[in-house]
Order: sequence, then C-alpha cells, then structure tokens
Amino acid sequence: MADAKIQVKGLWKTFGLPEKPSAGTEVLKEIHFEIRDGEILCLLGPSGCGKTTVLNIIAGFQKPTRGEVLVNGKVVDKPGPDRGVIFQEHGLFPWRTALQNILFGPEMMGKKDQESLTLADQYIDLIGLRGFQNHYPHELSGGMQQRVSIARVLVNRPDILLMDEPFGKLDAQTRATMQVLLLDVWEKVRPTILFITHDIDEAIFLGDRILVMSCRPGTVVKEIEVGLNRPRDYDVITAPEYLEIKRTILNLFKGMAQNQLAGQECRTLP
Amino acid sequence: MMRGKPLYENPYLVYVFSLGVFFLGWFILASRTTPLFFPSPLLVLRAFIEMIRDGSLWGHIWISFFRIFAGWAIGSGLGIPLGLLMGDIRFFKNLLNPYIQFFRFIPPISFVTLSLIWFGMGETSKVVLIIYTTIFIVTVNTIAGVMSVNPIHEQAARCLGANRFKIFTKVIFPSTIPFLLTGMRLAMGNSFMTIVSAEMIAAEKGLGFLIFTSRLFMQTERIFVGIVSLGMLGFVVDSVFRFGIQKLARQYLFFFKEK
Repeated sequence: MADAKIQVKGLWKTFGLPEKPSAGTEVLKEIHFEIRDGEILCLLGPSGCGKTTVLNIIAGFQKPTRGEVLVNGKVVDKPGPDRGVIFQEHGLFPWRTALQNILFGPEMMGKKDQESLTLADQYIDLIGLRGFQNHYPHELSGGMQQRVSIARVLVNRPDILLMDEPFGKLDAQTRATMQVLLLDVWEKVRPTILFITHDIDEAIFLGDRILVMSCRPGTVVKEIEVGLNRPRDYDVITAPEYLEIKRTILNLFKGMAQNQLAGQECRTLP
Repeated sequence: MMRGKPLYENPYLVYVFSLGVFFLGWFILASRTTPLFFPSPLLVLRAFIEMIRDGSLWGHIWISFFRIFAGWAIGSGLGIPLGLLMGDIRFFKNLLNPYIQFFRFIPPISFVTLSLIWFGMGETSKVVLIIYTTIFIVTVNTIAGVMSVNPIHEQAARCLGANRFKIFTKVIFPSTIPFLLTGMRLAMGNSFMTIVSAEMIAAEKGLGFLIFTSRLFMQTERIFVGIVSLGMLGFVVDSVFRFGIQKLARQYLFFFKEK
C-alpha cells in the first residue's frame, strides 16, 4: 500500500535463552499488518497476548526474533522522537514539573529557546493543563499525569503515537474524558496512532480499524473496519453499527476463551 | 473544656518530658556515686563552661569537624562518580566490585596505625581515614541508586530523543540523587566513629584526643564534655545537611513519594 505509514512484516518473537531460541516462550507468531497514514489502529487482545511486545518492537525498544518493522519505508532499529510512546505508567520524570517534563524533548534536541517554550505553551492549552504546568507529577491526578505525558510527546511533533494502554489505570469516568480528549487532539494534529487496549469499547470508540489478537503465541486473528462517522461523541456507543462490531468481537473472545479452557492457557509474560 | 489533642501528641511537650526524665535520671545516678565514677550534670556543665572560657573546647571541636568535613567531602567527591560509573558501565563494575566488596568489611579503625606510618602524624593521615570511611558507603549507595532507575524513565527519554550521554546526565543521575544523599548521611555518621578512634591513638587535638587524655588525669567530667560535644556536633552537622537538601534538592526527593 502506498500510504502505509508503518509496515509490520512477519514478526516473530521468542523470549528466553538467546543461545537456544527453540527453548524459549513463543510470544508473537507471524504478525503482519499495516497502519495507514493518519489513522487510529487499535490492537485489541487479552493480557499476555503480546500486544505490548508488538508496540515495543515498533518503538525500537525490543528486537524481533524474525521479521521487521518499517516506518516511512525505513527499517526500525532504535527508538526515535518520530515515534512518541505513551506508557500505561505515565513515565514522567518526578523531579521535573509538568512544564519541564514537556520541555524534555526539545531540550534533548538542543532547543532551549523561546520557540519551544511557546510550543509547549500551545500544547498545555490543547491538552487542558493550563494552571497545572508548574506542578510536579505527584501533585497531579492520574488523568492529569497522562495529559502531561501526551503533551510531552506531542511537543516533539511526532507523526506517530504509540500508546500502550494509556488509560488502563484510570477510573471509568476519567478514562472516558481522556478518550474524548485524545480524539479531539487527533482531529487537530492528525498523527498516526497505534493504540493498544484490552477494552473492547475503547477500541471501537477510538479506532478506524481494530486488529484482534489471540494469545500464546500472539497472532492477529481478525481485522475489523470501524465504519463509524467522525468526529465521534460518546452517544455512538448505542448505535446499531457499534453494537454489531461489539458483538463480533465478543464472539471472537468467547471462542478464544473456550480454547483456553480446553487447555491452551494464556500466560502473562514478563 | 476544649477537647484538643492528647498531650502526648504535642512534640515539644514530649521533647521536654524526655529531656527532663533523662536529666533527672542522671542526677539520681550521680548522687549515688562519686564524681569520678559518674559526675553530675552540674559538674559537667561547669567543666564545659570552663573549657569554653579558656578556649580549648573550640579548638578540639573545630579540628575534629575540619578532619571529618574534609575527608567526607573528598570521599563523597570520589565515591559519587565511582558509583555512577560502576552502576552504569558493567566493565567498571566488574573491574572494581571485588575491591569494594572486600574493603567494605574492613573497619577504618584497623587502618589507623597504617595511615600514621604512611601519611605521618599530621592532618593527612586522619583525613585519609575519613575518605576511606566515606567512599565505600557513598559508592555502594550510588550504585544501588543507578540500579533502581525506573526503566520506563529510560525508555521515555530514549523515545524523546535522548542519546546515551543525555540519559546518563538527565535521567540516571537525577534518579540517583536521593540514594547518594542517603549514602552521604550514613557516611557522615560513620566518620564520627572513625575520627574519635584516630584521634585517640595519634593526635594533639580533637574531641577523641580530649576524651582519651582526660582519662589520664582522671577528669571524668571532661570525658563527658567530649562525648556531649560529639553528639551536639553530629546533630548540628546533620541538621545543616538536611536543611541544605530541603533547600537545594527537594524536587529529587519526590522520587520516593511516587512509589
């Protein structure tokens, strides 16, 4: 595909003894997919299915045992500011204020000027942090912390966001707020987003497409196009198309759960 | 009547109570023995004032403080980079860890005589002993700090564009600060032990010297003066250190609150 932003080609990953890969645990098996420029792709699967491993390989934190990942046509071999990662644990530096955290990226590029300060200021407004920029992370709520970590990544102007269950630890209400906020930011900045979640509703609400993963070894079992109109608001969760997609995914999960009971247990990996 | 907090929750009242009981016990104990065996607080106070008047006490305190501070500052100055290097680069850890783990268990006191032979009767021998005391504690604590850097922080820094060097200066070092400060505080405490033993064996001045020579003249109350001065010096130095941390490095201690 011409407009593929990220191409994941035949990814295999085995954890275990590096000298004896056959003895290790197979985490990913033959993963293929593409992410189109500017879309939100949700990777949905139970815990332990290796979805975080996929993200870590795209981010450049881990190397695949076999296969490769291409970003903008180039093979990924290390992390870079073109791919902003947002972790489940916010990963903010506790000794820096919100603003200082946001300025970390520009600082690393050697930019300590008024321009990056102005840019940081814009993202503080975009992400709804006005008034909290001089707070330290431990003085902020979970939702606020995650806002800071999103702004910290956006200020680098990445064209890709890799999000690893970023709202997984938030309460239901805060999570809903953050989902709406993320869509709002996406409408304005239009990055390509890989969003990892185990929450079916979250995947349907956010995604243009959903890839459903099975576990052990992790592999993509189904691709679903979410045809819901954008911009979306929360009412969409009662729309018939929405419920139809949800039913499809639930049936898939039910099938997987039965397999598990039949003896193929899903293990959570380190 | 107002229902306030119970009296035992008022810290100042508890301090006063604690000190009162302590001095009362001291008085009672002293009244039942001879001053040579256990001098009363008043006798110690008189010796204290006497020694402040003739200027000798300040000399002892100052020289002990100087030796501790110089050795502790140099030892920390060496121990922090050593710990950072060993924690971050496996080669240095493998190279130096056997020595750290070996000398860590040899108390500085066992080197007092050797230090005198090698560095003479002057200040150098005592300062070297304090450096020895400090360096292992600070190094080991700093290594522990580097080891416990949150891997998410490193990953976040890498994908925000930090190179290896920047990760070291902007992520690993700040994460280590609470640990190295703890190491420095512990080292300060141990330096007090070392200095007293060193001064007892070879010095013409210092609190350890004061305590030891008072023994020769059977001036038990002067031994008490030396002991009380040591405690107060330690208390003051530690308070200043903690105050400095609160003023200068407060944001780095939030690290602990996060967990």
